[in-house]
Amino acid sequence: MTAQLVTEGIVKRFGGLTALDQVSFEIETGELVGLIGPNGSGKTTFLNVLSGFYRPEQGSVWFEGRSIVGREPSALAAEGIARSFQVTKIFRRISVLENLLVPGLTDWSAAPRETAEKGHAILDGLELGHLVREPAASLSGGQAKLLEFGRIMMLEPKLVLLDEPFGGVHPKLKRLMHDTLRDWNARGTSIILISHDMGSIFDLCRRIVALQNGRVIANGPPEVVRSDPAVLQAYLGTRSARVAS
Amino acid sequence: MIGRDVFRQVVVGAAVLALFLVVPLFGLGEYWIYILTIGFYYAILASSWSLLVGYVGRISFAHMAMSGLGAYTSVVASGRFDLPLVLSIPLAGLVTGIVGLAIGRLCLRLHGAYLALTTIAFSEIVRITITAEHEVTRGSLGLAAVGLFETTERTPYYYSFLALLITCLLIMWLVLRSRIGLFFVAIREDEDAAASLGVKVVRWKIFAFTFSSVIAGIAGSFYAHFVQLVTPSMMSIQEMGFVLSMAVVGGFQNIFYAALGGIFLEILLETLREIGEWRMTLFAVVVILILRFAPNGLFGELLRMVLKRRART
Repeated sequence: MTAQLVTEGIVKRFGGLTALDQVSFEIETGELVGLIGPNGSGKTTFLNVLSGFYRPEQGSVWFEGRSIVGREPSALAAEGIARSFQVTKIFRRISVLENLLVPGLTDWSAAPRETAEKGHAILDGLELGHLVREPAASLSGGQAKLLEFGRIMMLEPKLVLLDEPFGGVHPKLKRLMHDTLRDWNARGTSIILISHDMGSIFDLCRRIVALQNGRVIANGPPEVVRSDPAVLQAYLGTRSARVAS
Repeated sequence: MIGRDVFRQVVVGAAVLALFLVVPLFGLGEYWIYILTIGFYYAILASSWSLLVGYVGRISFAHMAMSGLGAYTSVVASGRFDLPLVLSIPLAGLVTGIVGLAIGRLCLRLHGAYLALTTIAFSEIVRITITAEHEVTRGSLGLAAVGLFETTERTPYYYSFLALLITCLLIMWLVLRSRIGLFFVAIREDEDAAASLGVKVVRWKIFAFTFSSVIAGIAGSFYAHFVQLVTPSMMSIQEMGFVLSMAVVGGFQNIFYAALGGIFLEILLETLREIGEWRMTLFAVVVILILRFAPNGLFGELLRMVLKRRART
């Protein structure tokens, strides 16, 4: 396996706050990596750097051997990097199907009819097929998260960045989301998954990277990261970490 | 469901069009033909402004400046350089398009209210520059313009403005029905989400601003060759306020409703002329009432009520 995405020494500051401090990371093609850390540890900022929304002050980001620092988010989407957002960002005043047509039709060679058929098939797979013509505003929180999954699938990405996809989702829908992620991963799509839902993280990921105060404090298999003293300290505090060890 | 809605809108649109086509044939006076012609001019401006605001979600206050720029371009090109109107009017569209592109490139990369603020400043700069300049524009005295037709009759102007309005609406509708219209709405709903899905957000915002500027410029040049005089007052913030009110009252999330808003408010303003300056107060009250009871615009609400009643019977 080869590294699909590599970051070296990423630094991102907001005024006096260093949100990312020398973050070096890599993901192999077809890997599913969990990104964990307490609130404010820099997880979402890191995703924003990878997807082109933030430009780092220092460091480099390489995707499939090419530097992507400074590239627009739309260009990175076309290159194969898709993402979801912590606060769901669906297009509320258009229909569920039209939400999927937006990414589908950014490829100018895609015909509208075939794109709509593809959208229908994806929505059926996500159990949203009966809602295609409904305005997206009528969806529940969990269905809205699934709709974001559907939009990502329209792009047929190589790397998916997911920011808290399971937040406030009904357990039944969460199972469907787990199955969808496993299915993407089985087809060779790499995934970076941010979640506070440790059950989902340990269930899905074969490698976990932990951040604290913008620094990588652990990187390894779930069973190793789970008992890493630095991670325990970050989540539970010094005293609890001592007790746990 | 969507198909049926479009069909109903087409039927209603065809009925309104038929009405405007036959109205001059039934003894409508020259004065009201003149007023309706001006109404068509405002309809073009209100609908092209609503394309930017209602579909892309970006507010511009430069629309009347673009219209004025188009008017002056065509009048100067035809009056000073003897360019025929068939060339000077497209030149007006070209100039406003270039200016729109430049402003768009300058401030549409930024989020938030930068376009609104920049366009207020731009409008005032253009208006004051033209007022202060005398050699080419004759300042606040204005410039005389040649007419579109040699006749002094109003009816040919009425039909040519109606044709221009239909052409502009048709072109805008085709753009909005295409994938570009879907990208516009995605940008309005959430710029970051649209960008993350591959929509070239800055490019389409600039396109929308340039496109609406071109339409405003061409409308302005037609207007100049209709009233045969162009003055800086057509670019005033008050005029911009009229266009904004027309789009909001008609329904700025639909170009057709915004166009009807333009015609409706022009008729209302003329009807209230007898009460002098009080008409502006009454006009404002009407706008507030419509915003209170039909926040999505008067015509969308009316159509919804009519269709609901028909569905019940």
